Amino acid sequence: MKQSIFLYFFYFMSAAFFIVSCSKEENTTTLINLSKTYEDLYAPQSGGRGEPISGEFTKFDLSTGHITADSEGWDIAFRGTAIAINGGSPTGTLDEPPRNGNGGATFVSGTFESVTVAPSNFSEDSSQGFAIPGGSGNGWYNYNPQMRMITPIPGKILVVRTRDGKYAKIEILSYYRGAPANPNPMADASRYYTFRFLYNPNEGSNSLE
Amino acid sequence: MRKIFFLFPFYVSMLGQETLKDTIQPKRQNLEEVIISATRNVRQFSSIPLPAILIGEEEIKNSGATKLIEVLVEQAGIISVPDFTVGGEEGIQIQGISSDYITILIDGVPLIGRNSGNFDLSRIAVNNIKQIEVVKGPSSSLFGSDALGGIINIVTNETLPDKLSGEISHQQGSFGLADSNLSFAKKNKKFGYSVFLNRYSTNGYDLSSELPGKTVDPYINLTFQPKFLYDFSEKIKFNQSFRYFYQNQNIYNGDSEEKDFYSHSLINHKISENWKIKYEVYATQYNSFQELNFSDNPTASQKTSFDQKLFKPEIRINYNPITEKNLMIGFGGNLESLDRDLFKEKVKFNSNYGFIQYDFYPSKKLNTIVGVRYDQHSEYASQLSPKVSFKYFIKDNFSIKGSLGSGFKAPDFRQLYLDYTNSTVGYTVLGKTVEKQGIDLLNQNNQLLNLFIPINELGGVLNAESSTGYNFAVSYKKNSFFAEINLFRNDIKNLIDTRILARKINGQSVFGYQNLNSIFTQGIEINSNYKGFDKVTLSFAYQLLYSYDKDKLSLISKGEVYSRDPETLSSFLIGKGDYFGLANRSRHSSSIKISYNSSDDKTKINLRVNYRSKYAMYDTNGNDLIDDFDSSFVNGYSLVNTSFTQNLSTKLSLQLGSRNIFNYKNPTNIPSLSGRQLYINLNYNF
Repeated sequence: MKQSIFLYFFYFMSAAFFIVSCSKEENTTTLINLSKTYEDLYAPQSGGRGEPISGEFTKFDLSTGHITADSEGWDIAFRGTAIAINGGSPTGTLDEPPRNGNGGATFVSGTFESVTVAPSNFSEDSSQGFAIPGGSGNGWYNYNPQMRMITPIPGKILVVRTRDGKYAKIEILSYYRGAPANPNPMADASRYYTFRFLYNPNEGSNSLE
Repeated sequence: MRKIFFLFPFYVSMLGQETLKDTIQPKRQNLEEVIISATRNVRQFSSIPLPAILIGEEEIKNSGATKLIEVLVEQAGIISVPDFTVGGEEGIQIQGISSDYITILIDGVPLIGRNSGNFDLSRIAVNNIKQIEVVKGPSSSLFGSDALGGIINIVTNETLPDKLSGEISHQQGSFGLADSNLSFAKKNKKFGYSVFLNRYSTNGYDLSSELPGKTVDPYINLTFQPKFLYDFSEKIKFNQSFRYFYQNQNIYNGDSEEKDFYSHSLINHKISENWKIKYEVYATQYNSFQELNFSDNPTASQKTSFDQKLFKPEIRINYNPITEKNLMIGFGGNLESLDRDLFKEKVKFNSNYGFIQYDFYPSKKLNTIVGVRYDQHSEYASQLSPKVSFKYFIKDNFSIKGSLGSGFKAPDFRQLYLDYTNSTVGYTVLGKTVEKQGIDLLNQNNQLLNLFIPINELGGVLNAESSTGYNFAVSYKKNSFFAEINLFRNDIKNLIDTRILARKINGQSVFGYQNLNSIFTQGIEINSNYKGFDKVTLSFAYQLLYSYDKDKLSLISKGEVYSRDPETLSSFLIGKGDYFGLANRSRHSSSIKISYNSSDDKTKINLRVNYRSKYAMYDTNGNDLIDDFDSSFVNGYSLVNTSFTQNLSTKLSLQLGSRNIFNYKNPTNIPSLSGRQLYINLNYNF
């Protein structure tokens, strides 16, 4: 409680400072971090089942907190279980979005709250594969072949360097529509990402608090 | 132990009456309590230094069982578990180790046909069984590969009668159960034979009518086991037995067949009083064939086949200068082959082995058995499997025993040779020996997106899965009370699992096999019975079990494992107390038996309760282990079976019974439970 009061005070002071700064037309502004949960981002794919996977990625802009159709203004993009980053070079899969940013991705172990600073080592997409590796246990999910169920690995916080060098943290919560606590892969529609994220809009700040 | 539970009460109650029946009494006295598979010699059961169970013919008959699995799951420390890889969808666990790691033997020779790694225990009819022996703990020092968790030996050998005698029985029950048996035997001076025939059929059952097909489809089993023996002389005796088994199941949209056959020849040669040699030749074959036909989609139709052969000659030499000392030396070979349509070509294994065992009494009250076996194999590293055990009588009614042994399970054909690409989903599985070739081929065909394993690590050595087992027991017996408490621990390493080698351009993975996990199971078994009542015997068994993956435990203690809050879905760190353990393991299990015998021995009633506490089926929150926050827990349950047997005459008996009398069902999680099954059984001896 103490902390949140402090936080509000901090926000208030920042905002006040922002207004004052703006009025003085200076650049030393501190912007408020964007923190929210995005529900049911639909990431369909075609192919698979023996055929090459294809289809548009669903692109997401962390600075606005919304999906986008803009082929340049995106940070991460989803298709099935694959997640692309707007940084690096094409992986070679069909229909992938062009990369024109300086994005990167890495995983940090911890709870969403415990990850407070972005690390410095980021991977980029390349012909060697996605920065966020696919496959059960390699990246963000585990796959249960018996139940045909995809479950995000708890304690794996995805830290992203955005296309323009800002930082964000993402915790994927569910791969099924409506983010049911106990998904039934036979009944619940899959490829619906629910994730919470925090985006720090401040240039040069690696804080993720 | 079991036999003590069930046969002693007979003695006691009959002796109490002091009107011994000539017809029954001598037969029972002949049933001396011996166990064969513990040492591969006939050995007094009560003095054996190993954790073991004996299940006698009488108990099997009284329980109304028709298949081996039904008998086993009622024993102390043996738990029934759902197993989707076998036809009957039911498997067992001993000390937390599943039947993949338990050798199944008939008269000391192993049955083959582990289609998906596991053995289908519903393949074995029980009507001709004289005794079932279960030895818990690693037993590779005598039996080699697969005896990692223990062995189950089915004894069908018996002393043949001088005049033709036999038995006809028929059981009719719910779900279209029809089980018919015919057996007869005779021995002249030198020549003897016995024949066993069984036909078992069921209509199967359907627990979820909204799904196509039945939960268990109808099937028919046929078993034919003839046996011949001929005494060339007092010193040289010959024994020849055959088994033929056939199963046909009408599966949804198709047909499934299983066959096994064996020929088992044994010559007992008594060279002198001290020296005996056994020459054994065993040849067996297992086939399965499955055909699926889809009239609306003929391209999806498929046929799969599995054809395994084993040829196993063995010689065992016994030297026992005095009764308290026995030295056994044995050697033999396994020639194995498997033809399977998922393999590129027919594959062959060769192995040679030798073993030695010394069973002796360093002092009058102390029995010790030491043994070791060496297996040399064409496809994987050689294995040395030692074992040592002791039993010490502190007092006549109070004893301790302990054993330390090792076991192994060789990588199977699948793990070495599989070369399979799923035609509908598109993933690929490669056995260890074809790993490199398979990846190279995918690469040449431009199918490979990226490789996760350094190329020089492909196709390395796959080690045998291996175990070390520790058992320590205290037994106490006073008047009508018997109790034994056994502490056990099994450390198992090099468990083989799949890992992802590479990703293909279709997004699917290429899987390979790798030695990955180390686990342990440990706990306490309590086994007791009381026969102080006039006509009633009580027995009670309990098992406490802890089973964990060692790597997972160390990750948890390093603070690297998280779980997910079922409400908010956010991650949080878990501690050791939150780790429930391995899948499909119950912390507690128990069995209670109450049996009644009328004083004239004509009426027998029994009630058997088997309980297992809650267990989880798989991880649901993504951390790849089962913690208290997973949602796949199955609640604990009890199954109650009962039977009533009435002798109508000296030759004819009638039995009425019920399996799962309270009709417990759990269609989603335990499809092997059909619900209540009532049956009637008529038995005629001649």
